[in-house]
Order: sequence, then C-alpha cells, then structure tokens
Amino acid sequence: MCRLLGYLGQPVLLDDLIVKPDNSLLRQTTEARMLSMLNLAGFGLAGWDDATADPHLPLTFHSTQVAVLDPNLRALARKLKVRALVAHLRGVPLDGSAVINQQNLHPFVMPGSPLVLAHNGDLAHFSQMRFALVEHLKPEIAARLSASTDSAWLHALVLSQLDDPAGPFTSDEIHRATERALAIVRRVREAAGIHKSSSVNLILSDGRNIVATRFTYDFGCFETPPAQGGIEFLSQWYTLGDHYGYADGEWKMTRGSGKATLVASEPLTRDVSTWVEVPEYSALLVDDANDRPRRRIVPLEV
Amino acid sequence: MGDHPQGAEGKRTVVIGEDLNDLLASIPLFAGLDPSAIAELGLAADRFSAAAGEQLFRQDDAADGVYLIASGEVVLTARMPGDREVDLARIRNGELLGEFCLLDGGRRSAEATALEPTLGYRIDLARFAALRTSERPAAIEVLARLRGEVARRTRATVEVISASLDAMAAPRPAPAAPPPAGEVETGDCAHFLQSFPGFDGLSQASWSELAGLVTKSVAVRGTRLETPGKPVSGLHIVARGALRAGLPVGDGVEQLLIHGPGAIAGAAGFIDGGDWPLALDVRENAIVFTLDARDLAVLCSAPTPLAFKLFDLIGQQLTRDLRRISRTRARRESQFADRLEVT
Repeated sequence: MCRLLGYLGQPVLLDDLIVKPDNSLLRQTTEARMLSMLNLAGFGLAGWDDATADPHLPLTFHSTQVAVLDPNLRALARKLKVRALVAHLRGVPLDGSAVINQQNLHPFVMPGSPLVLAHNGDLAHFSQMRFALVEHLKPEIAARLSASTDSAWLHALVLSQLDDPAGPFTSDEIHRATERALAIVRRVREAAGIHKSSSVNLILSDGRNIVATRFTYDFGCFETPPAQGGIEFLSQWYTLGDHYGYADGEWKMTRGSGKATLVASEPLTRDVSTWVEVPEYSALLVDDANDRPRRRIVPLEV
Repeated sequence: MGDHPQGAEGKRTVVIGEDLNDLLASIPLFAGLDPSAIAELGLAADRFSAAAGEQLFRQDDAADGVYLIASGEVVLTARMPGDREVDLARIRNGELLGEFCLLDGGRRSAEATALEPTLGYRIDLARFAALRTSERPAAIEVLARLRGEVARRTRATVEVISASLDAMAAPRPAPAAPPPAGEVETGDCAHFLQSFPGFDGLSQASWSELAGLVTKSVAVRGTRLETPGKPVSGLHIVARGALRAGLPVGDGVEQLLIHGPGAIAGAAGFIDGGDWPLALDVRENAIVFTLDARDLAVLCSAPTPLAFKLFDLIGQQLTRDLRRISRTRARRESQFADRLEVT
C-alpha cells in the first residue's frame, strides 16, 4: 500500500530523513507502524539540491531493490543534502499480480517538468478506467507516459490540468490541477459504476511547493473482507519547525521561524506528539515564496 | 477520619494511607458512591510519589491508570509541531489526572510533570478493568459518569471551535449530488458488523438482541441524519460508507469528525443530552444501523451483556472523538496557527 515522505526547508542530509530516525522510511519497508503491510516493491526519490545542474529539476533515484537492503541507496543518503524531497516506498499485494519494474516506481517524473508525484493508495478496477482517461491527457503528456499504473496516470492527469507543465507553479495552481484531476477520476469511476473505496493520498512537489492530499473515493465502501484503506482512512501527517535533526535524544523539528515542513504517511519518530494529521478530505499546501513558507489546510471536496 | 492539617496557601494535606477512601469520596467522579464501592476502588489503587520536575507520563505513552493527587501539583502540557509546548491544566490536591483512560485504555494525550513534590494514588488500569469485567457496581457507575464527563467536555470543545470559526473557517460545500444507485449489499447487522473491532466478540444472543433494536438504512451522500441545534435522535453504527460530523457554517460545514465503518456516530450528543451543535451528514453512500434514543434508554434500564458491551464501545468512541476534536482545536489555536492557515 506504500509509504510517502515529503520535505521542504533548509538543506538536510538525506540520511537524516530516510535512514536514521527510529521510524525512518527505510525501516517502514518491513516495520511500518500505521500500515499492516510490507513495502517490498522498490523505492524512489526526487530531491532538489541547488548545487546540482538545472537545480529547478530534481535529482532522481529509482530502484526495484528492497529499499532497506539497498547499499547504493544508503551510500547516496550519506552524501546527499536536499532542500526538497519526495520519497516513496512501494507496497503491492503479494499475490504476484503487480508489475515490478523501474517504470512503475514513484515518484513519477516527466521530462521537462519539475512536478513529481508519489501516491499511497490505489484506484479500484483501474483497468476499466484507463482508456476513458485518455481524452483528459494532453497529447504530449500521453506520448511520454511509460508506466501502466493508476499512480502514473494520476501524475499525467495532474500535469495535463496545468497551463504549462514546465512551470513555474504556485501551490494554488498545483492544488487546482490536482483537484481537477481527482474530479475527472470521480466522473470516470461513476460512469464505469465503480464504487469501491480507493485511497488517493498524494505528495506532489516541484521543489518550491508541496501539495499533500488525504483523500479517499467512496471511503468505507469495500468488498469483504474489510481491508485497511477501506475501514480506516489512510494516514497523512505533518510537522513544522525551523530545523530538523537529532536533539534531546530524539529526531524532531525544533522551534524557530518554522521554515521547514515534513509530511509523511506516518511520523518518522516513535514519539508522535509533535506531529499533526492532515484532516480527511483535505490537502496541505506548502509554498516557499520569498523564503517565508506559507502552509494551509484546504478542503478537498471532489 | 482525623483532622486534615492545612498546608501552605490553605491547601489541604492528605495523609497517605489513612485517607484514601476519604479522598476518593471527595472527588466528584466518585461522590455519592456506596462506601463499599469506594473501598473496592481503593483496593485497585497504589501509592505514587513524584519529585519536582519528574514526569508522571509522556504524551503518547500507553495509559496505565488514573492518578489521584493527594498533595502537590502537576502540570499537563501538550507538545505541538516545532517542539512547542502548550500548558493545558494544573492538577492539584483532590483532583484526577488521566481518568479517560478508564474508558478506552488509550494513549496519553498530554504530558504530566510534577511542579513540586507530589504524592497520591494511581488506580491501576488493569485492576479497574477486572472490576469492570466482573460487572462490579462501582466500575459500572464510574464508567457511566465518565461517559457523561467526556460528552460534556466534547460539547465545550466544540463550542470553543465554533466561536473561532468566523476568523478561521472555510466551510466545506454541501456534498455533490449522489451517484446513480448501484447494487446494495444485503445482510443483517451481524453480517455487516461482526468483523469490526469491538463487535467481533458479541454472542449469538447479543446479535439477536441487537437485530431486534436497530433499524437498517441505506443513505446516499448528502443526506442529513442529525440536524444541528436539536437533540440527537439516536446512535448510528456505520457498516459501510462514512458519516461526517461538523459545525454548520453558512451553506457548508466545518468538518470535525469522519466516522467510517465500525464507528458509532452521535455518541457525545446522546450521552450529553439536550440540543447538540453538530450536524451529522452522509459523506459517502452508507449503510447505517440506527439505535434510537428510546431503545437505548430501555437498554440502560435492563442491562444485558449487549448493553454492557455497547456502552463499552460508546465509551471508547466518545474518548476517540474527544481526542480528535481536541487535536483539531489545538491545531487551530496553537502558536504556529498564524503560519498554518485554515482556509
């Protein structure tokens, strides 16, 4: 079912975000605290570092290796500092039905666009929806779509709702594009008679903004036996502060002018008291305009 | 009983060991209980002491019991994002700390630290649970009183949020028109509810009793089940879909709670009584089993195993809902709210 992580703020060593915390993203490969599922189907990240070439475009890493066992990922994490990040652990059913390949790893990246997307959840009966979505994709976006999954198509759908996928964007523009994409999916589901609970927790970022959704179509409408995501709203948490690091015996954001935002499927620390849940049917918008971050909780009523 | 010497600032000093039952009887939660019931609760209590600056428990710790303060003072604080702390309350002689854990055995919602040397008693959660399982009158009465207290605090918290809405709210619009009706899953309440936590332990006899009390309904998105400003009509057990409880704002609603499958909606309004400020709407096409207020009153008067179980579940739901609404309030009021806009 996947785990997500997003970060926007002062540059932080990747190791401190995905490896070291006591409930780090890598640990969630096999020991997620808020998901009763293993996340073994690969890992991906998109990170922004102003010292790299084309700093407005992310550095990306995708691997189908089990993340916690991947030595290349750990080596990269010990060296790379990022000021923005979207990272994703992929979890799939263990019945052999999922296609495990590089193309299906999140976050999805489209050449020429800085906007990436990672997804926690799944669109039920997506195979019945796929071709009805084609008309809503810009031809140049459809031409570059190489992955087959619902998540990849969500990314393409969001990009197609933007005036110019190359950006730059405001957080409002990303949010409106996401809302329009979700509305399109809602209409296609209804036309196809699909009423099964389908979670769409997303983290989108262009390196300057984050939009994190906590949303489910037809929440509570599941087929027996009840599954997580059908009877529990998938979680999405965030925390704010000035500096993220190890202090007073724990990993946490410390107080200050609040320049940094962390958003994740579940808190990175066993002590969750400094984390807050994104409300159900809502989105967290974070923008970094003029070095003074603005964060908003907005309803998602699609 | 003996005299109670006055300490500094006129504070009553309780002699540990001699006055436990007097202390219990003086606390509103236990006032009026039969002396034998008080004594029963006392047997579930252990002494504790804390030095100035010592933590009794941390936020998000698993709860271990209820603290009765006999002397000293404890401060309750909540941690917020940015590692900020918000003082919530000061607990002094003759007051309780962490009592809601008796309802749901959940995790601590705040941190408790002794401000000065503090003495008292801790009613152990496991021993109290044994009293409850044995259906001891003391435990049953205490839980009923606690449910009332949680419902009262929920109302108070909702009213605080309501008062802040003018400055901060962006109400959610009325839900979109419902989709065309599809096939509706058939079955009785046992079929739908038995796989949910809490309901999974009901006996066949209890299921039969519940089936005779509830009314099953299929409600489409946007249907209003409870009108704000009126007494709640009953409890709504969600089998499929979801309900939303919220404060009406203009043409929309400020969302406070989402009740998914297995949840019992309307608990605080029913227990608290009177006009309830929240609307309860169908957020996702739902199958709901409703217990109306009259049938619940019958259950109260002739307690059966179903009644005990149901009121246990109501107590757990009440506490979960209060925690969630309290976190919503804290998020809106905390110092960083000026940098986290609720639109």
